This record gives sequence, structure tokens and C-alpha cells, in this order.
Amino acid sequence: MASSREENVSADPQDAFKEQLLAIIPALRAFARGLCGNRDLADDLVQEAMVRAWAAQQSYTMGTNFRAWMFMIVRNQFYTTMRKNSRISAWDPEAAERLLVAEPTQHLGLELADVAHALSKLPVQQREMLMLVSAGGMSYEDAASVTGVAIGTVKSRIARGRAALLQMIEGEAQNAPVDAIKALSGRTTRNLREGDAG
Amino acid sequence: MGAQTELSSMDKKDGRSSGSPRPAKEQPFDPIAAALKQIHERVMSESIPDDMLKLLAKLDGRNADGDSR
Repeated sequence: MASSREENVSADPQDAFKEQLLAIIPALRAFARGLCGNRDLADDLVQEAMVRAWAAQQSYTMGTNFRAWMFMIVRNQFYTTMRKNSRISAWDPEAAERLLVAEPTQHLGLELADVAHALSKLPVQQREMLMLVSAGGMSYEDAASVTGVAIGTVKSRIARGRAALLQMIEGEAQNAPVDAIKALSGRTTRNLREGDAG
Repeated sequence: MGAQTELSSMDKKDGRSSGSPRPAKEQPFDPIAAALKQIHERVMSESIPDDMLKLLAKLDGRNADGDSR
């Protein structure tokens, strides 16, 4: 029988669970923000998800896909909240733009704001796929697991979402004094590369 | 053995000797994906709000009490 000292040395499942939860908080916040476009609401969603996950940790098998499990909880929390509070307008495009443009150190603010604004207009099913896969780097398989759809559906929603984003940005560019598409494919392309490196 | 045969044939198709590292396939630059990644990374780089850290400590403390650790 292991001594209490040995038990203290061995990995404690609850500590391991807490560490995983702590590590994934930034990604959950980014996903939630992408879903609802509202910082406070997104953080509320993440906190609710943390409470639910903690309460359900016995049902989580250590070593399985914690990331997909947590994203699924956040996503479910988002849809539950939206259903319960139909008056809540999750995405506030103007607020999203302000957040992006107001950053003085961000040289891509205007272009990112264009994308954020277009993202806010997408159907949530497409938006969540773009946030999971294109933005967050999640695999198609995991995104399918999180959202409960087939991998083919994940791919088609991403393709439609991307096409719709481009179309919206193109449309806005036609009415804007600055050609956003030209910026995105030219100067911005270089800036984005530099931004990625930095 | 079957798997090895399959791997060998895949290497032959690629024209590379087995065991050599495969160079990363260069993807065409996608400005939309890059912008989405930056939007995502900006939130990722934010520090975790105190509220969340306190919540995690509270959740952990509640269970720790129950465990009489």
C-alpha cells in the first residue's frame, strides 16, 4: 500500500485537471470572443464553462482530448445563453472594430477590423468553424467532434465562410476610399507576414 | 510488413528516399486566414483575468476541503 508521502508525490488527477484547465483558458477566451464578439459575454461564457467542466470532471477521462471537450462545453454554453436571452445581440460589430482599431501598436488595425466586421455578419455555424480551424488551428476531426457534425460539413462551412468573408470585404472595398482587397493582398499581406513573425 | 510496404511505395511516389525528412509543403499565403489568426492570437496574448484565476482557485479549494488534504 502506498504511503501518504508517495501519494503526495504521485500526479494528482485534480491538480492535473486544474493545470489543463488553466492552460486552455486563453484559447477558450479567444474562441468565445470569436463566437459572440463581446469581451464581457465571452468571459462569462468561459467562466460558466469552467464551472461546468469542474463539476463534470469525473466524466472526463484523463488523457483524452481535453481541448475538444472544453471547447464543446463553451460552445454549448454559448448556444444555451443565446437561447435563454434572445434579446442579447452577441456580436457588436462596432465594438469589435473599436477594439481592433483602437490599438495604437497594431499596424493592421484597419484591415483586421474589416475582417472582424465581416466575421460578425457570418452565420454562427460558419463563424465557429472559422474560429476553431482557421483561427485556432484545430483539426477538422476535432472541430467535427466539438460541433457534432461530419468532417465534410466542417470543410464546407469553412469554405462557405471564407467565400462569404471575401465577398463582404470586396463589397465593402467597392464603397470604401481605400481598396481593402488590394490592401489585403498587397501591403497587408506583407504586414501580416511581418506581424506573424512578431 | 504490409505497412512497411505501403510506406515504401509512398516514398517512391514522392521521389524521396525513406527516412529523409519531408520538407514542409509550402501553402499559398492566405490573408483571410492570417487575419483570423491574428484576431485569435490577440485574445490569446491577453493575460488571464483575475476573476477566472480566483474562480479556479475557488473551485479547487472547494474540492480540496472535501478531500481533507
